[in-house]
Amino acid sequence: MINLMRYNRVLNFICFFSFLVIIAQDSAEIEKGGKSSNKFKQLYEEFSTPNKYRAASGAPGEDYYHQKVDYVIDVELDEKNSILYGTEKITYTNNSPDDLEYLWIQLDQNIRKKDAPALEKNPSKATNLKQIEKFVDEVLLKPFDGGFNIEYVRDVNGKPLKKIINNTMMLIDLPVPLKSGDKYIFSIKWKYSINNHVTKRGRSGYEFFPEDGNKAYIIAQFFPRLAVYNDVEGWQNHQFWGNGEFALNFGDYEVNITVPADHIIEATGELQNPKEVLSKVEMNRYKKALTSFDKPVIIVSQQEVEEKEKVISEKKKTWSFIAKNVRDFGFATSRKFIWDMMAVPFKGRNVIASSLYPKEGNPLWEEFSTQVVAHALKVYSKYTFDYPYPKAVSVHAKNQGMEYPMICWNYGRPEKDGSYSDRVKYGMISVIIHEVGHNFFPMIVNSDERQWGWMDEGLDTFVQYLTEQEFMPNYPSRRGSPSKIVPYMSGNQSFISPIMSNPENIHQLGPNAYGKPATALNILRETIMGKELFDFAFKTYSQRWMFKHPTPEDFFRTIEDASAIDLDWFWRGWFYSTDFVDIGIKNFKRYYISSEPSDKVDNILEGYGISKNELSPLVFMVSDQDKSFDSDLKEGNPVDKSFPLKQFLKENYSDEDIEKIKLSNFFYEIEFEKPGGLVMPVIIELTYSDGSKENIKYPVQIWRKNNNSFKKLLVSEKEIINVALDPNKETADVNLLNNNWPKKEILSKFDIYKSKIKN
Amino acid sequence: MQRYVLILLCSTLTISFGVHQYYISATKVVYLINKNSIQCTSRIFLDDLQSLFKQSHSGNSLEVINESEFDFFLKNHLFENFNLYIDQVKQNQLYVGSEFEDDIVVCYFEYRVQKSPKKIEIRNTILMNHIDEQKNIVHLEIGDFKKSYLLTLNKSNFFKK
Repeated sequence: MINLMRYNRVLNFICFFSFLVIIAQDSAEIEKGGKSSNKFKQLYEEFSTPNKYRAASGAPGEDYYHQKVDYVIDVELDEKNSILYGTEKITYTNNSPDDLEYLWIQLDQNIRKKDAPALEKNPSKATNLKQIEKFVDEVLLKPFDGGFNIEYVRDVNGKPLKKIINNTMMLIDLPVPLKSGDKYIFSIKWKYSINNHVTKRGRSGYEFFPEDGNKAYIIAQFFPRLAVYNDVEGWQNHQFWGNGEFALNFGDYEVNITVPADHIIEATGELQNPKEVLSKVEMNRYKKALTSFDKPVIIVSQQEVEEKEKVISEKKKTWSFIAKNVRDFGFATSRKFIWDMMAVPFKGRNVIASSLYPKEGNPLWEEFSTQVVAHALKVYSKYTFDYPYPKAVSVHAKNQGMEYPMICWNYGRPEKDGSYSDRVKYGMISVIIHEVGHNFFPMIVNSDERQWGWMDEGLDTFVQYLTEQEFMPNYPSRRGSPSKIVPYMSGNQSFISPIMSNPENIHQLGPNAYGKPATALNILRETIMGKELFDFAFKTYSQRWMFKHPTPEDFFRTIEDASAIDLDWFWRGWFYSTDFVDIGIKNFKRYYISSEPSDKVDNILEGYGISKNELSPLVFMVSDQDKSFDSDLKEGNPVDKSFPLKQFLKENYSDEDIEKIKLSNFFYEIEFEKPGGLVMPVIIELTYSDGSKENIKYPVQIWRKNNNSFKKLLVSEKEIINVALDPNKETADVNLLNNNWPKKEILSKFDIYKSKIKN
Repeated sequence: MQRYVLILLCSTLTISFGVHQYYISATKVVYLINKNSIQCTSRIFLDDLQSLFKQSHSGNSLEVINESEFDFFLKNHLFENFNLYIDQVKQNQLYVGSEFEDDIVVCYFEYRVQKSPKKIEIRNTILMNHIDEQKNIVHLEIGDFKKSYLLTLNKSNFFKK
């Protein structure tokens, strides 16, 4: 008995030897307590407690609500002076459980008032030299004086309502609070000067074409729009500063747009009076286009437009559009617009895909735009839900890429002689896919862009990547693949913010709100969850929140809820921190079975004053890095090296089984390190001496008790000659120098390029 | 590609896709002591170079000129605007070449270093004389030493001892 106890103590001692040493060293200082920094800690502190509005599953809760806001709008364009006049009747339905004392209205155009605070939101400085156009525009000329001029706000009986304008927000003080469940009807009259969007930027305005003296208008944020009231923000009345886009309500729109009679308009919603606004010839082509499934029908041709450009009509026409369940309204109008259109079949109904472009967009636009719209609708529908709206329009505007329900503005302009590079072509195709894709996020899955830029931009850029890759193999996607985000994630930390940041306050909006979340979702799909589970969960999120207002938590919760994969570690690392991936191979040892214990075991026994004879039978292993390693161990059958092992096998296994065991001759210990803050699954590719390869994936949970390093025993039948970590570069590992054993010299981009040009 | 860049005084709106937010370039400078070489890799937005090129070449865009003409233009621009001094002596820049990567031009150039320097100075005015908001980031790596420097027209150089 005593002997056995002693043996067990020694065995325990051997097993915990290295552990004990670490404790002994650390206990020299008194340790302080602290909060958990475990990478796998659940997100209870970051997430709000689920409630009746938003369920713990990530689905809308039983009391989920959103407000409904319906608009009847009449606008008229004064083309000569570029002024837009409008009146609107708003019907506000209070679906919230709360009584509302006042309403907040968004006046986005006020960001272009000459004294808008947004004009002074960035530092500026005097410089020694400046481009001439910029010097004139920025220093000599007075700022453009835009912004809404609100003529009146009246109740349903025509009585003026008390209003207070605070920058880009207008409060309407209701005479009596609006009860839960009630409607309130009121009207607003306004006008504003339209900016040149090429020189003054912004998401809407006009482009002036000096050659023929015409303008092409892309008009949005053109009417006072209700702010969102919900269970998360109360009134979302965060001012419009320029970067954080929009938070908007669903509702029905009836919009009548009066423009010069020779203009062509496309807009959010279905055209109600084509016969009144189109010529007979155009009407016939329009009807034909409604059932043209293979290619677009040209309704207004370039030749016709070139004639129209020469004469300006003094007459006017009013185009009427109706849109159901949209969160916004935009339109484009010009006599310069060429118009083509085709139909896209969706289970028993047709969706119209169409494009408007000035001749400056051709020949590129005629060839690609509408076809790309149709492709985007099909692929996005596959990953989310069938596109529910009746149409989708792509409008060419020189340097815009901006989305509205059913309509978007896109860049991609050939040279004057009509030539264009691949860069222009793919830039145009990508931006059309992206902006049409915004119909899904945020137009239908209606997230709050003012607060969370990534919820629409990131999700859209992710599906954009899938759509591009389905457009043609090896499509040159700018964003999506893991290696493309490495320069950003490995960059200077003072210019990086977590994805979970307000778009107004971050340095690099592109990689932050578009590239990184898109890549993160791509890594989830390809590497962490697998396509089947991810696609199901992503579709579940899209369908749960279709025509509703989700928050980031609703997304995070749903993806876990629909996949049975705990991803709190992933959201915490990729979305709430600026950590990056750097995992490496620290050491790789081969072990041999030995009859004699290694010097390490000897030392322990000696320390305890125990002789080898006192031990019960044990198997000893010696590594090729141990001092006591003897190269004779490499020779012969490993089982023969250990008498106790041989004895044990003989007593417990048949000869046939023992024969099989003899084959496993290769024991390795591989040690991984993790200089980077992010935890990720560890993927390795083993190369054997016969040239064959095998992949092993350790689950991310391997890091849960030690965030810095871990070891793994590998037992193989063949000699391993090479280990490569993340061989397909699927984890966005920022440092590849520690990814190979034996250490491989990783050529820098510089060396690769230099050797390429030498050859 | 007709993609224009942001941060105008009158309108600080970003549009929703593809337009890069800043006039910025990034240059990685790696001093390989055992190879007696300082390797430089610059990443510069193509459309910024394009607008400079247009201004200096009467409207021709980069898309229509031939590759060697572009290379010559780039080589000159780097030669004039990226200067490396070792112990106050300007070093001879060896231009290696350039390649496109999506909407970015990646440029490679090198300096040969004979003795171990006491002080390195880098002056980087890439695109600054054309775009006054231009910011150039330099990532310097000497062995285990790594540091990033943000350079602007008002402060376009730094020293490392």
